[in-house]
Order: sequence, then structure tokens, then C-alpha cells
Amino acid sequence: MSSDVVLATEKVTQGYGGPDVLRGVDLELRAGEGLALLGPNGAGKSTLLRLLAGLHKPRKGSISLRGRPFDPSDPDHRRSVGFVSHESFSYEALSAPENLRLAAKLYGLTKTESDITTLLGDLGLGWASKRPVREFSRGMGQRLSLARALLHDPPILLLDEPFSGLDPSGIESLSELLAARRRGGCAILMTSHDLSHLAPVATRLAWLHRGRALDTELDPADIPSVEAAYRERFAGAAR
Amino acid sequence: MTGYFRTVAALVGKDLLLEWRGRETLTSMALFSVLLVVVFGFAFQAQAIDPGSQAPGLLWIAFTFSGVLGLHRTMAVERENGCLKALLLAPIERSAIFLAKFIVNVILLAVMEIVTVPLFSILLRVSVLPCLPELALIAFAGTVGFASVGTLLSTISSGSRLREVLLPILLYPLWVPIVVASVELTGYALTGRPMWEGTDWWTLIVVYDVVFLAAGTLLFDVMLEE
Repeated sequence: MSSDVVLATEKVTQGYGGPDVLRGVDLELRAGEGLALLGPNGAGKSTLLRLLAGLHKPRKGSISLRGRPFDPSDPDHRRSVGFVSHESFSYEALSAPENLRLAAKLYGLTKTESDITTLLGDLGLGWASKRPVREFSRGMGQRLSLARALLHDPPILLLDEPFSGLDPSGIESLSELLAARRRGGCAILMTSHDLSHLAPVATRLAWLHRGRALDTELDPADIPSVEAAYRERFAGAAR
Repeated sequence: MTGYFRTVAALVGKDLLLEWRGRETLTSMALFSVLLVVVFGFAFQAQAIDPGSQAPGLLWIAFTFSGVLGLHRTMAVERENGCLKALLLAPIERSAIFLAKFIVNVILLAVMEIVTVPLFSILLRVSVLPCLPELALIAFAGTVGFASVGTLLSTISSGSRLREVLLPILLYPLWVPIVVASVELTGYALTGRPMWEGTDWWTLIVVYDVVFLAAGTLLFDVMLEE
């Protein structure tokens, strides 16, 4: 596995007018690595991912992409990242292939219909290609979001709860797909509340609590003890 | 540069396809303008309307009030499901998003105007056929102006909780110059006055169009920063 750092944050701080959501987060993501970001609700995981995707600028601190300052206005930087959020990023009146065809045009890709059909098939949406997205279930919408993020083969994937809404077969096939991408050199940063889904993909765990990165070098092999510690910490946070 | 215009074309195609599938924007705009014209027709059924002083104002009231409905809706579709964020994540010039929305707004407004003018002519007994080319040119120039301002301001308002109220509040004051100029020139056209007599109004329209189209292209990125 390469040790190249592809994405790094230094003292990143972010807020929305009230108390800061992120407070001086230092994090590194390396090529071929699967970093799972854990933490209770409100810890700042989604905010951090949105910053790393370039949707917002941090109030303080810096983000670097392959050693250079991350510039969201640079098309090459945007092309480097595939992002899945809680929103589907899809036009409901269009079908899945139509949404992906538009994305392909915007990313300057020369994807054929066959490429799009194959990608949708890999994510279990081949059978629904004629339906408008408004008829999709939550899980189907999530699969389409993933297809959109993977379409341009980005070297970095930022996935906010990618397994959310998926059925067991979807979780398994997505885990395999992400693990294969990671082995191919893709750097993956993802959040999830269910640690059991992370095992095939995660090579490292990091803990975010009240905007601070507390542990960033946890071993996924320790998932059962990490899970116990996570629940205790989560219960502790509630108190 | 060709990549830029390919992006604009892809976004325009997407919006027109969405409108074709839903027909919400055009239907609401056209119905509202027809309603206004019908009300005007009833209000003026007892007396002949003056084509120089009364008809132009009534026509542009129909255009502008219906236009606000369309401007609000074309940007609202991007706020659903985070589609605007998806466009911001794509490696495209953000001004291409503005230009595409502007073009779509001009097209939809033009269709609404094409529906409105014949009905206006019939119900208010104003002859438009002799001056149709001039009227089309004035309508196009005026529409470019208020579509450019409207596209820019609908971007701001669509992100607000008060979006339904905020857009008209922001738009109407800025629309005054273009609407006044368009009304004056429409009066010239309907009364058969030569267009060169309205040079000052034409200058105002052209400058307004250029300034706000340029401003929209340059400021769109800034308007989007949350």
C-alpha cells in the first residue's frame, strides 16, 4: 500500500455562526487507504467531508491535495474527488442513465452507454434504468449517488454514510466494490455508524468527537473493542 | 472554450428536458399571464384602450409578473436533492451554470410572451400585426435584461427561507429601468412611430442588458458562496 498522502487537513476549524463544529482537526488520507471516520451525531463528520469536497472553505486551517493547497475553484481538484452525501444529487424527473449521462458531460468524460449500463448494473440499478428517480426507494437513490461519485474514477472518494439505506446484498456488493477500488490505489474516507460494514474497506479508523480528531490511527482489526469503546464514549457524550 | 459552451449546452438541454417532462414552469407562467390579460380585457371592455399610453404598460405587467414565477421555479429545481451542490462539485466554470439558466429563462419567458401577445391583441383590441417585428425585437431585448437580473437574484433568493417573498422584493426595484424603457418602446411600436426616435431608450436597454449579463457571469460564483 502506498504511503503517499493525497489529502490532509491542518488545524481545520469550521462553524456556522454558533460554536465551532470542527475545532482544529488534523487528518491525513493516503493513497490506497480506507479511513473510516467515526463519532456520534454532531461530531462534525459530515461538515469535514463537505470541506474536503470543496463545498465550503474552512474558517481557519488549511486543506492540501497531494501537497498543494486545495483549491475548490480548480477543475483538476474537483475532478480528483468523488463525493456521496446525504443528498442524492439527482434530478427526480430524469432516469438514472440520464442523470449519469449529464454527469459524464459535466466531467468531460467519454463514457459510452455501455459504460453507464455496466456501472448501474454493478450497483444493482440495471433493472430500473427506465424509471425516473422520483420512483426510487431510498436505497436505490443511495446507489445512484454512489454511481455518480464513481463515474469519473476519482482517486479520492469521500463517502458520508455510504451504506445507509442499502439492503444486505447492496452492502456486501458495495463493500466489495470499494475494497477493489482501494486496492487499485483509490483513497477512501467514509463515515458510518455501523462498524460491521467497514471491515472489508477500512484500513484505519479515526475518531471525531465534538469537532476534534481524538484517535486517528486505530486498527480496524480491533473493531469489536473499538465498537465497545465507541458505545461507551457515545453514552459518555450523552451524559 | 468549446468545452465551456458544451457544458452550457448540456445544462440547457437538461433544464429544457426537465421542463418538457414536468411543464410546471411554463404552465404556471402562461396561465398567470393569460389570467392577467383576461382581467385587463374585462376591465377595458367598455372603452378603447390607448395603444400608446395604456397598452404597453398592461402588456409588460403581464410579462413581468408572470416572469417572476418562472425565474423562481427554474432555480428551485437545483435546490432539490442538492443538485446545485452537484453542479458546484463538477469541474465546470460556474459562470456556465449562470449562462445556462439565463438561456433557459429567456426561452421560457419568450414562449410565455408568444402565448400572451395574440390574446392581448384580441381581448384589448390592440393591433400588433403591423408592428410584429419591432415588437418582437423590443420583447427580446427587454426579456434579456430582466432574465439576466432575475437569474442572478433568484440564485440568492432560492437559498433563503423567504424565497417566495425575497425574489420580487429584490427584483422589482432593479427592473424599473428595463421595464420603463421596454414600455416606452412598445408604445412607439404600437403607434407606428419609428424606432430611431427611441434611441435613448434603446441605449438604456442595451447598456442594461450588457451590464447585468456581465455582472451575472462574473458575480454568480460569489453569490453561490454560503
